[in-house]
Amino acid sequence: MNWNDWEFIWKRQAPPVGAAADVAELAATFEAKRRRMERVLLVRDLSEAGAGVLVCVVLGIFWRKTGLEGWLMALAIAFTLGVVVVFCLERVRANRGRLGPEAPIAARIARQLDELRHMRRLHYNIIPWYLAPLGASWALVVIAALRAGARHAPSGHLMDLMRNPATAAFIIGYFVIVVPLTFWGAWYLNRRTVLKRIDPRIEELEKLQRELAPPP
Amino acid sequence: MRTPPELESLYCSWIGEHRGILARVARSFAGSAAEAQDIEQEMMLQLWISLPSFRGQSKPSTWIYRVCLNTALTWRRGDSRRLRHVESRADLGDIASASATPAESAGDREILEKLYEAIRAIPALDRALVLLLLDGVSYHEMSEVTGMTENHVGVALTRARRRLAELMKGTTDELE
Repeated sequence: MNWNDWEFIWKRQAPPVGAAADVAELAATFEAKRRRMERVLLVRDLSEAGAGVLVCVVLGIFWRKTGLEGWLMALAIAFTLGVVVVFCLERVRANRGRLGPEAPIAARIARQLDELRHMRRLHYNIIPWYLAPLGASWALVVIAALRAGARHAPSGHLMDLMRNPATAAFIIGYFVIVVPLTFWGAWYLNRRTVLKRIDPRIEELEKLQRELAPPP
Repeated sequence: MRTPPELESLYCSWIGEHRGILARVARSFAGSAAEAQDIEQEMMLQLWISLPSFRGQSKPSTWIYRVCLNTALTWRRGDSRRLRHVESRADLGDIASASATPAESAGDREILEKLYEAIRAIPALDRALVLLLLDGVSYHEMSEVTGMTENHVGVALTRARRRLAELMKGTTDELE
């Protein structure tokens, strides 16, 4: 086999083929669904970033009032602020990629598919950018609170707190049940969103995109 | 200066006419089927964003190649910064089987898949030139797309073809 054979086979390859789709219905609802998704993302980014800032303020006040271990609290606030920054960057990204009103539906579909795939990546990778920093932040706050509590214990050791059954149950329950369950729940809900909402929408838009392109 | 409706109709007709370019470039630069789709979307978007800058000084296909290859090259450069995919990735061969027509034999598909694999294995600029050559683009147009002189294109292509032939050697021997 030589170059000419490869060239021949290359030129015979088929262009992407569209699957059957109810184009009229998809096109009619596209704009409404796109706007709804934009609204959902705006609410998500603002509420998550706002909640993050609020948590930081609360932690700051808590830190100031109780005089907890400074570096632990500072680290906890930094982790939470990191997540806030991610949501702010998401908003910047959404605004930068916005197409003008004159953009054709094909470009709008491409833009939305781009956005949905980005969301899909974010949802699938939620551990490193969302769950891990927030989990670390929670853990640091609890450790700071326990260390502050230990200071009031007779010997001043953290393990003294475990002698009180209620405190021991709270500490163990918190780390063994509450934290894993909360984070598993967040992870599960994200996976569910991808499978039930994002993936079907991507599929729908891909069909629409293929059908709208005139045959070559 | 084109009006928005003119831009829209131009965009739609070009996307329809040159969809194959987008698919081939995406597949040559992607590491997975999902990534190929991502690159294709990005190309479509970049084509729309860049459309007002099209002055008509080159053929539409040349301009489309330029935008698509720039997008694909930028995509690869930014790849390490992107979040890692953790979902199971569909094999790139799925694209071939999904888009295959009855006219394409199983052997053709296999060779095509091996050809894409070999193209993906060569350096990015060589890859771009090989794609253009396989699509029958002239040296003059290649120089317009890449910004290289025609002589340089010729030299780079000779090197790229040699590399590709080396990579394809074992494969085609197996198939023959």
